[in-house]
Amino acid sequence: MKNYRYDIEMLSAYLDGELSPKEKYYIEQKIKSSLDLQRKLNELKKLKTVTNESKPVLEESFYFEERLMASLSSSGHAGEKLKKWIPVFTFSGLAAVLVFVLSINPAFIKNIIDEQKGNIADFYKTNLKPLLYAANLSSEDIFNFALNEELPLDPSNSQILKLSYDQTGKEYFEIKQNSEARSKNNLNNFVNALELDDQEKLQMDSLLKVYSEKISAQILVSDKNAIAINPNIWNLRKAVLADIISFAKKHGNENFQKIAPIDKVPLPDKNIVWLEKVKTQSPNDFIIVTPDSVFSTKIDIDLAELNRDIVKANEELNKAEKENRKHKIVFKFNSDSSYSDLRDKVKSDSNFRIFVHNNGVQVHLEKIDIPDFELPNFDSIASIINEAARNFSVVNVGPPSLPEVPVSKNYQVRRENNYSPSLRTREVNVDSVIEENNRRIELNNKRRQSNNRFYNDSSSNEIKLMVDSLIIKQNEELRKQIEQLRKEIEKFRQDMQNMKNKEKIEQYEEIIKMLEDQIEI
Amino acid sequence: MNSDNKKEDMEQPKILTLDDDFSLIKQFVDGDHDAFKTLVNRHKEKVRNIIYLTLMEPDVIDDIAQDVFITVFKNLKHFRFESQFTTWLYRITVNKCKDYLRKKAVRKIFSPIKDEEEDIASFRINEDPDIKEIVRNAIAQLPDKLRIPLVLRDMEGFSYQEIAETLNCEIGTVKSRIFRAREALRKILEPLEKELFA
Repeated sequence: MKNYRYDIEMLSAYLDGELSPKEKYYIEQKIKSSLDLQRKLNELKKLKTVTNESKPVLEESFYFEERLMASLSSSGHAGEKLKKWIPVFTFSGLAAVLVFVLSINPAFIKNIIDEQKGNIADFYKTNLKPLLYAANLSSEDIFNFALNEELPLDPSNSQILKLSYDQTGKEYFEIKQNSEARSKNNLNNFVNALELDDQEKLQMDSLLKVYSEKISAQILVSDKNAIAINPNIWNLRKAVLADIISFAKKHGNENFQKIAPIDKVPLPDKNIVWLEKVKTQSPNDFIIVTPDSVFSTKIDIDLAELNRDIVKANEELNKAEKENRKHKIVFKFNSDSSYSDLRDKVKSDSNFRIFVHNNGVQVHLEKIDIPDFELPNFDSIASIINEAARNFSVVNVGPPSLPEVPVSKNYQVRRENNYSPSLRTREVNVDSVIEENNRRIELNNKRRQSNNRFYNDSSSNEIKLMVDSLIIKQNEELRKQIEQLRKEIEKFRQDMQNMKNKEKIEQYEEIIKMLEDQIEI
Repeated sequence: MNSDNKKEDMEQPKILTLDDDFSLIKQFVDGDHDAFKTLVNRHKEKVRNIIYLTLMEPDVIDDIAQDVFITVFKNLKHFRFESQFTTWLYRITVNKCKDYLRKKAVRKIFSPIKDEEEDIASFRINEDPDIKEIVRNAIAQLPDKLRIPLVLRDMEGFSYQEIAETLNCEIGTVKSRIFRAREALRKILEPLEKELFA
C-alpha cells in the first residue's frame, strides 16, 4: 500500500516532468505493467487539464502604476523614519512652542486647517481622469440620458449617475448601482416610430455623438474612489433633449405629433446650436465627492490631453480585443466602506447635503447655483417620449389575437380604437406619465418661485406655461378615455350575468381580462 | 534604403542586459525612479495573477499588489543579486497573501458567522456555474498549503524548483503537496466525475 502511494506520487511528478532520469525509467516500467497506474495517470492528466483550463482571466488594472506612484509619494518614507527616531521628549518641547505661537497668533490652527483642506483637494485632484470615454457612451446612452437623466458609469452599465431635483426644486445627483434592467432599443424604437429614412437616422446618430465628448469631460474619476461632476452637465442634458425634440419635430413631424400629441411644441424660431450655448457657461467648476469631503473647485481640462487619453484607451481596448484578453477600464465606486462616515464629515453649513446608503451616494447642491441658459423646458415632453419609446415595441407588434367569439359592437369599436395608429399614445402608461408630468410641473413652479432670476425672460416664461397647460389638458383627455374604457368593461360584466352558456361566459371573462390588461399597460 | 535599415537592425548586437531586471534595479539604485516604473509594468500582471490565484478574491488583488510593490520599492536598495528578481518578488507576493489570509483568519475568530456567510456567498455568485467555475470553487476549498503550490504549477506554470524558492521550502515538500492537492481536488470533484473527466 505504501509502495502504491509512492508510485502515485511519482506519477504526479512524472506528469509535471519533474523526475530524475532514474525515477522516470522506474515509473515508466511500472506504468507499462500496471493497468491501475495507467488509469490513474489518465485521471491525473485530465485533472491537470481541467485545472489549467479553469485559470481565471484577470481584468487589467489600468491606472496601477499611477496609483502606486501616488501612494509612494504620499506615504512619506522620510516621515516614517523620523517617527522612529524622534525621541518622545521633543513632543513636550513642541507643545511648549505651540502654546507660545498660539498666544501670539490665535489664527494659527485655522490657517493650518485651511492649508490642509487645500492639500486634501490637491490630493484628490491628482489623477482625475475623464471616465465616460471608458464607458464608451453610445448614441442610445446619450438618448436615454436626455430622457431619463441617467448616465452609465461603466461599460457593463452596473453603476449610473442620476441627475434629479429634490422637493424644493434644487438639483441633486446620485451615484448608485443600476438596479433596473433598461431597454437597449429606445433610440431605435424612437427613430423607427418617426419613420426616419437611413440618412435621417445617421443625422440623428451624429447629432447625439457630438455630445459624447462634451459629456465625457463633465465627469472625472480618480483611483482614490473620488468622483468629480461638473454642474454644467444639467445644462448639457437640456441641450441634448432640445436637439432631439427639434430634430424629431423637423424630420418626423406627423409621426412626432402622434408620439407627443401637442399642438405646439415650443421650439425657438432660430436654429440655435445648443451645444455652443452650453459651452459659454463656466465649464471648469467641479463638485468633487471624496470619502473625506465634498467640495467644489476649479479644474482645468486639457482637451488635447483628453483626446490623447481616448486614443490611448481605444488602442488598449483594440489590442486586448485582438489578443482575446479581457480589458476594461472600470471605475468601481465603493460607497459601502470608505464613504460610510462622509455624512458626519460634511458639516451642516456646507454647500452640500449628503446621503450615503448601501446602494450609493446622493449629493444635494444646497447653496450651489447651476449657471442656467435660456432654453424652453422640455422635461414634460421628455417623459411622454420616454414612456412612448418604451412602448413602441408593443405598437409595432400589433393587436393580440383574440378568441373568435361573438362580441358586442362596443367591443369591436374599442378594439379598433386601441390599436389605431392615430392613437398610439394610448399605449403609454398614462398614470405614470400623468404623475411624472404633474411632479415636474410642480417642481418647475417651485424652481421659478425660488429662483426668479433664471426666468426673467417673459417670453420663455409664457412658453413654459403654455407647454405645461397643454400637457395637463392632454393628461385630462387620456384620463377620460380610460374612464370610458372602464365603463365599457363594466357593461360587459353586466351582459355576462344574463348569460347561461358556460363556455361563452369563460370567453367573455377572457376578453374582459384582456381589456383590463390593456388599461394597465 | 529599407534594406539598409534592415541590415542595420540585424547587425545590432542583442543587448540583453541593458533593460533586464538587474539593470533596471541598478538604475533605480542610482536614482532613476522611472526604472522602477518599468519593473512594475513588467511584472505587475504576474503578481496580480498570483494574488488572484492564491486568494481567489478579486476585490483585494490590487490593494495587495500595491502593497507588494511598495515593499519592493522600500527594499530594492538591499537586493543582493544572488537570485532572480522574480523569485524575490514572487516570495514577497506569496508572503503578502499569507499575511492577508492570517489577518482574515483572525477576523473570522471575532466575527465567525458574518465571514462564513460572506465566504459561502462568494463561491455562489453564479447559480448556474460552468465547469471552469466549479473547478475554481473546488480549488478555493483546498487548504492554503496545498492550493498555492497547485495553482503556481498548474495555472502559472512554475517549476517545482521555482515553487520551492517562492514558498521557501524543499522540492520534496512541493512534490508531495502538489500530489496531495490533486488527490484532494479529485475527491471534491468526484460527484462531477462524468461531466469533468468524460
